[in-house]
Amino acid sequence: MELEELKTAWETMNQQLKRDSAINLAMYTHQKLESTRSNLRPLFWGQMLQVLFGVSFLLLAAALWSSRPGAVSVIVAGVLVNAYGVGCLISAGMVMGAINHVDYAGSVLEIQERLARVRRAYIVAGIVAGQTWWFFWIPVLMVLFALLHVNLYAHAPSVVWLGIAVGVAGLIATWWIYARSRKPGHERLRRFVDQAMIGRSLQRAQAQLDEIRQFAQEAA
Amino acid sequence: MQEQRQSEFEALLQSHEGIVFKVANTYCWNPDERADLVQEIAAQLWRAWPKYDPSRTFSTWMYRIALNVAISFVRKEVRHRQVAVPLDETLHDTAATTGSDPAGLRQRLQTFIERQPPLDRALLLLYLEDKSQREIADILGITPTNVSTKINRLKQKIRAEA
Repeated sequence: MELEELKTAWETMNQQLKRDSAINLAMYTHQKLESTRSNLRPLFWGQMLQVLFGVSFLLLAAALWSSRPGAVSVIVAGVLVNAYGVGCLISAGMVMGAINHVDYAGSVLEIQERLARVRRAYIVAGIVAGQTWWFFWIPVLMVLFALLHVNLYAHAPSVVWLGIAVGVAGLIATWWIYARSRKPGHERLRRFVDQAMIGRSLQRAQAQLDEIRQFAQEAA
Repeated sequence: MQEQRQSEFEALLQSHEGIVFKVANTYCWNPDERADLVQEIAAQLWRAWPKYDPSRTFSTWMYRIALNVAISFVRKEVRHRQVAVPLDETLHDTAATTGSDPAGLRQRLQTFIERQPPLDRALLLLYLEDKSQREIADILGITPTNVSTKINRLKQKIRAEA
């Protein structure tokens, strides 16, 4: 196809599609602003869920503090649960702040890179938060028992130490499998790990960043 | 004051509405999705309007927003569906289209655009709209030299594939 033909086809195509569309643009601005779907809305609602998740741990910790625990082990568990809740709120707030401050009037490359970074940070934070559960279930369990006036560590310290040992083993195993999958000759393992541990969403976010960077590079 | 700004925006939007439709047409072939995209671009333009700097060209500002929304929209749709939904199977059968009849040319152009990654589509759109290299560079956020090189490659690709 020659370039002039292409431009003619472009004009014809757009005129036809515009006629077919018959959309009144002004109708879709201020009047329907609230009802429009936003590209980042799923990410935003994901963060709202994280806020609720964080708040539930803060409430759990608050319930514990209101019962005035005396045992050091219970206090430590409460502090960890409290810190996890605050961490959830802070990371969700950071992502929501980043989403709300995206100025679409920026250059295409700048904005697309920023959006891809936000998505990647969101996914990585999710993975890290997931990994902490190798250990985090222990203080949660301790707080729940404390609310029933049972000091789990005093009554069954082996449960806590066994939990920690399982957590350490699980974390080491996770990272060992990850490291092994990155070595040459383990392509099947790498695919499995990428899907099971890292997830396709992170791969896609990274692929988008790579595509943007490649586009930004000066062509030789 | 608010009403004046609103009517000023509506007037500018109306005189430049072609930009919105062209961007939407470049990224969405499915009529329902295209209508969604047009709606989202219009809403985002209205949202960004209070921060518009009148010393800058309105069309450049509009292209930036429309393209950013469209690219994000396409990425979201791909994430949700994993595959792009073709408008019509016959449009993808380039061998079936013939020579230089207008319908055939449109189909070949559409197929060619669909094959391009989102950022290349933006470049192609701006090139087809006869935008200067400087303006393309400003909208996309790359250097004019880079634009020039990419356009030359795009021309070769069009000759080879379209």
